[in-house]
Amino acid sequence: MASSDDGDIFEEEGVEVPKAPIKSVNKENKDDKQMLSQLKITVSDPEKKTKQSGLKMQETFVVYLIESSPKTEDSTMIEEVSSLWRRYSEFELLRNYLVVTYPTVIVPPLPEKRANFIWTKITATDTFDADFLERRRGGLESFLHRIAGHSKLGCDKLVSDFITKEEGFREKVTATGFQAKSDSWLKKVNASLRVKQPDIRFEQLKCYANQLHEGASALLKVRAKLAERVYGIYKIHGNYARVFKEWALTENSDLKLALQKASNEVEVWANSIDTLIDEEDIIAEQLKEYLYFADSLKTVCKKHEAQQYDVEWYENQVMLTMTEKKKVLTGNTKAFSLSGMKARLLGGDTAEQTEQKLEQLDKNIRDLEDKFESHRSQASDFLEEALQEVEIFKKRKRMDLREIFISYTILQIKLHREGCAKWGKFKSLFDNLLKS
Amino acid sequence: MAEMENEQLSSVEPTQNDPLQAAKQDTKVNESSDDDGELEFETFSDKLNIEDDETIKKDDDDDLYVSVDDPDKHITTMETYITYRVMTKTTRSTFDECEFEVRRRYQDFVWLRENLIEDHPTFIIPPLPAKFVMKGMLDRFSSTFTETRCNALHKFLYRISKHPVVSFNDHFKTFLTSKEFSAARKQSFMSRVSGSLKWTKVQNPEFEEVLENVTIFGEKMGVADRIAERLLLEKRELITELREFAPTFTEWASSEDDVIEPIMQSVSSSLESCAEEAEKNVKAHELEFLPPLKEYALYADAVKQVLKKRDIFQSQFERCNEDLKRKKDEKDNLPKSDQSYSIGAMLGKNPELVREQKEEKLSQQIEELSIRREMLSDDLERANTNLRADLDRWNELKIKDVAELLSNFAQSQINYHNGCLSAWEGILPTMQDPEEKEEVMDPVT
Repeated sequence: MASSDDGDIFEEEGVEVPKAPIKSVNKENKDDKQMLSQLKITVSDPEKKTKQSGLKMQETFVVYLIESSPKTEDSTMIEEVSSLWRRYSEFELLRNYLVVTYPTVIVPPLPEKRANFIWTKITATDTFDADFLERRRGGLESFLHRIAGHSKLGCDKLVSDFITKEEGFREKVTATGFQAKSDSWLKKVNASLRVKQPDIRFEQLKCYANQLHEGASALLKVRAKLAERVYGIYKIHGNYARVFKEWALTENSDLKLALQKASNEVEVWANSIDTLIDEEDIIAEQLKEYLYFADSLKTVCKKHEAQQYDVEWYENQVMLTMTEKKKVLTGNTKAFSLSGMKARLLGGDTAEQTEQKLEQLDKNIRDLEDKFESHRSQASDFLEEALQEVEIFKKRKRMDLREIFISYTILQIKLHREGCAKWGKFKSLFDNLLKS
Repeated sequence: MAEMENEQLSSVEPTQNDPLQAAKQDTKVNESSDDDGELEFETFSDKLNIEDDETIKKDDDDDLYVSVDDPDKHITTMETYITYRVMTKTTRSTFDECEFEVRRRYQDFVWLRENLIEDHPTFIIPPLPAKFVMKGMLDRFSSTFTETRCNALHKFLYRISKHPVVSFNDHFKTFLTSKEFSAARKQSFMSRVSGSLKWTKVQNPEFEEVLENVTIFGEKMGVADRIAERLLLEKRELITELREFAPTFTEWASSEDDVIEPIMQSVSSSLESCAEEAEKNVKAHELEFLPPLKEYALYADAVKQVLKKRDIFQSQFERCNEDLKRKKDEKDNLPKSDQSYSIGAMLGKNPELVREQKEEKLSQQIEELSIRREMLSDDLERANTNLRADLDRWNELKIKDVAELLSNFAQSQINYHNGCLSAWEGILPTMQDPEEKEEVMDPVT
């Protein structure tokens, strides 16, 4: 039997696991030791890099520059500015490690692997496209900020190594053995479909996660359509610029001048959509984070179910063993059971044998009860912690979504104010003409 | 581009109905006219150029007011069609009464226009709205189509009523007043002289430049119209998509907490408001922006037609001039010519006699040609003058109409943006915490 496995649910026989520090999660992110309050972290400058991989093959991929600098004078985390390059797959590795190592935490999502809900000014679904890289860069930065701002995740040594030490990251992560754990609970996840009594709060959470995913998908899909439409409308108006200019050539009065000015006004207004829509795209990317957060929520639910499954399994085992013990005590009266037939053919158990059996069964029962108890308390700790994490997540989400929708509203206000102003100018050109 | 059926250039023989021409033949233009009310007519008969007449310019145009409204569907066994009410209010004594009300259908307007073009070849007659619907999106009897056509027909009659010469046309009067219109129509139809003269190119830098400018203008109007049609389609889709977008917020909001849920509901309702504003914008686009663009494309064509007719006047004159010159040369060369081999001589006539006869014939021809040349020269002069005046009028009108059109277009854009702006500004305070209300950034304009 493996050594004491309190604190870690994924322990396999013989595998040592570094304990995840259980920190009080009641504090807000204003803790002085918080990574985010001490460091300024930026992700920038996506660059293409090529290197040898395997025999004759070359691999081309993109790397991002991660820079961290101390925010205040008494930051103890790092001494000076640190900068290094990371590629997307390294972020993935970090995230997978965190998901396994901090099972109660709703780990922030990475930006999507492939472009979804993107509308096209130019075709932008190629992984090396500049717009795609920019969106990914923003997502990676947000990912790091959320991690750094989390009371548990931000304290992890591997996280700080990720942003300060370029070399050896992959090896260190592999050394934690998290991969094996990840594989083992994947197996359990499939088995967990047969959980009899999942906690109702997690059932609700699962339901919410689905609604979040559906709601965000639907919204983002239509937003992309709408963005393309609005962009098109502005640009089509821009065609008038040329018409007015060419028309002005045939006039030789005040109309000529008015048309030329109008041509400029229309062109400027039509081009104003570029920056406006870029801003909207950024807001959409922020909303997308919550779409992918839904998956993180579901993961936590699955972990709960996996645990609950274990608890129920041990409970069941205990019951079975007790039933077995009872059978031995009362003797087997059933004529056609296997043990009954064995007794007939080979003779019944001697008193000694029965005694031995009972001893073994008692031992088993004790062991199973221990296991059951430890799993039960583990599950209950998990539950408590996870629910606290969910509350943290919800608070964060409330703030973030509010920010997002306010930004969207402000952007619309900006767009319409500009529209009023530009068309007002346009109108006055021709009103002046009518007056004279 | 013009859907007008009048593609043929009708004969340039001045008809009885051209008041200026009639004036040449007898001083009375209109049997029923009184002397005191028709100042304009008397001066017309004396003067060749309408723009020289001060009284006409100062004259208040409101002695004739025409309107078109009340489209009404008529269903018969043969066909279904729409008639419009044409109302006239006038103080002119050329009319028997002060007020008239008749019903006319599109075909009647076409009849009117064809007659006006024939009667006034040197004036620009306003265009009619297109006969057919271009894209086949709306049917002939949809309310938008009918409303648009009604407005365009009103504009058509209005422009004619404001023309200092054409508004006195007999056919126009008949159109406005006659109760037995179909009879009058048929009668007039038969008396129409139809004949087409081929347009030949003539040199005239002044009018060539005008033609070029008008052609480009017409093209640009066409392009603007196409852009506007495209915009209409896109704007319609925008409305649909806004209405699709709004419910995605309320859907999602239903699973969110009581901080986020109201925020999302507000956004949703703003989007609905924007959709409504977009609908108003589309309506204005359809009814107020598109039709004038189409009208001016057609108007440019009408101007081009008149320019071509003027060219014909010019070519007729030039040909006559050449004929005259040829005959004169022939006559001058006659004394030197040898008539021995003429046809007359071969028939047994005395060559001298042949020469004399020829000389006499030529003199007669020269006389006739000279008269004709004078007449054609006058025609050309008058055509040029009329056309110049009408072009000036047309240009002035065009500037005003175009300025109004573009100003109104801008206004409907402003209305749309304003409407949306108030929707979004309205919800912002509810979304922001009273303590954290930040100054909404003013965009750099």
